[in-house]
Amino acid sequence: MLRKRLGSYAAVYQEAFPLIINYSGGNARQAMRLLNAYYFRRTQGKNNHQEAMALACLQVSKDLLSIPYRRFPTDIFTVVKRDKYIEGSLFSDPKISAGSTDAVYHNWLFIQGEPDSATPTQWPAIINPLIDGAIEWQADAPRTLEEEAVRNWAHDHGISPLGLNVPTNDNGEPAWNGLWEKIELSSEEDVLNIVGLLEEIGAGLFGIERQDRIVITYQNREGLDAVRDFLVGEANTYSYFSCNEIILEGGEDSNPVIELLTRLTEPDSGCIYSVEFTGEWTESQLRNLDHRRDLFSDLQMLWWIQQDDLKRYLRFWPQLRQFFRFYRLEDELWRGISTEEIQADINFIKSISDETDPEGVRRLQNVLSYLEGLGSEA
Amino acid sequence: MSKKKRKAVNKRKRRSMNTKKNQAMSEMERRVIVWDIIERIAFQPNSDQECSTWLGVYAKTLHKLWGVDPVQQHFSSSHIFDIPFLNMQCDYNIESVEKYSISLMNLSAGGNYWHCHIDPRYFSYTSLYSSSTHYPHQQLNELEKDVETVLDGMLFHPRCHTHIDEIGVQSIQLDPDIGGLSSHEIRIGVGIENPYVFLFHLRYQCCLVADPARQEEKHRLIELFCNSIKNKGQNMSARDLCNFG
Repeated sequence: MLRKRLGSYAAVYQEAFPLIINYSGGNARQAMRLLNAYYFRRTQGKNNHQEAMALACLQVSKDLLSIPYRRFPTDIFTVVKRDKYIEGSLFSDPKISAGSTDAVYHNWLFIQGEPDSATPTQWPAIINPLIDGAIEWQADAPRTLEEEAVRNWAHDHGISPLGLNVPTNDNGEPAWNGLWEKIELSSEEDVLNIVGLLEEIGAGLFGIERQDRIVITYQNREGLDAVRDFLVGEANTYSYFSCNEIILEGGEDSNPVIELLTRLTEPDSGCIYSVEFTGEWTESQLRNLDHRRDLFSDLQMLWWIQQDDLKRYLRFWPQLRQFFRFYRLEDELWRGISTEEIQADINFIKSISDETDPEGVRRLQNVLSYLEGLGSEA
Repeated sequence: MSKKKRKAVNKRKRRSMNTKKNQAMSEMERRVIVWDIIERIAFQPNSDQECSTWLGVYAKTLHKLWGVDPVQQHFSSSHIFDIPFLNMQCDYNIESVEKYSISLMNLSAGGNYWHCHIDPRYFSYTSLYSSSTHYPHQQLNELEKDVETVLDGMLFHPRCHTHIDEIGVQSIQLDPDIGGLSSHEIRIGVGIENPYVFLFHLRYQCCLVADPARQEEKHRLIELFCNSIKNKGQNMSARDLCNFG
């Protein structure tokens, strides 16, 4: 599978294969995510093998593993790590079945096969290698996700991570739940300006054969249309891409998932689907969408979700979480791009297009108008 | 050489050709014409806008022939771009269709593998001639072979060349089980006087994904140029040349 993804170039990057296989824990999707991240770092990030592998693991562990700490079944993990199997009865025990099911559904724990006939209740299992380090800390290990999350949380709240005191309850005991809840809601997406975003998602967006699924999160809605038009316009400098804009409004009185299914009745793999989430999505709507994961597997999807909304949605999207890549737009979004470059792209599309009003030109003209408006405001 | 002298040489050659008007042209004469037409219609963008479009299309299509992921890039008349699978960068500076410089550099460590200047103040044998004659209509049955031979020398296997593994670039061998080629198959033409021809030949040479991919590109270009020459040698768009879209 890894060889197929890289084609002839597999020979050039094959030193990474054993590590990718090892870190994938036998999960094909995780292996592909690792490979894509590694390949991006080697080819565009100009990182060497070791750096690229470390960054790929970090990237995928952030993208792939959504870990709500309050429900993180560390006791189960500790036992599985020691015994290399999980007792089948754990899935039916009402006290701990939720933790066991979560562990498997979220891919924190991989079932390796069926039980041996001599031990029919013991399912061979391993901890996902990307979070294995979080279970047993080692002196030379990189920071665990929890440690990193605490540091990020402290940083976000203007607190030095050195000497950080955990809040306590009335009895003077650490109030872990409150802390974990806040940390869980801390953002962990890559924060990018428009140039960085294009570098990260360009391979999927510009490639006809490769469909990627991207969630872009933002603080303010203002200017979002310009970002979408910029991405679609740039894609059109590589080939003709149309863009299907869909707005899905969640809430008690709406049926956003049905609306999406209707819009995807005749899916077009040559189209960019730009899906904006609005309204108050209910838990059941979010879970319903999570179960439709396979609908999006062959499509180029750009989802736009407000930053605070996404934090709430993610806990209901263990599958989508693993299917999409997440990026956050930074405040100084248009840093690094000039109106001259956009005008050059408009001229370029005009020069190669047979159409009188190509979609790429229309999109980039909108961006240009938007940026000129920003300039005149300043 | 002055413009006046060059015109005189061309005039003598044309006169010599005209005397043979009713005779079939020799293979060599036809191929001189074909070479000249190909360079003129595909590799001599006239205005700044044409140069910009040519380089733009080139930039946006490189990934296809090389079988790599597309990356966001804009090429201008002076630019550096990566060829990551060879750990190499190409740095070019085009001043005109006759004057440019080009370097092949180590991507991670820096430093030049190879550097070349083309200075039009000095002449070469090939710079002496420019054809104003059409390909002989009565010999169109020879056209395909003529185009193939010319493209071989111009792009696919330049007569004067260096192999990149012989100038210090790390050797790679792409997966031979699926037709992958070795970097020894990359021949960098060392006497290419037109910057656009150089860039275009580099595009073909760095295609190592599979020999059939090279063959397919070769046949596409032969057909493209044959059709164009049959249609009176109209200028070829960069879009068609680079197979954009």
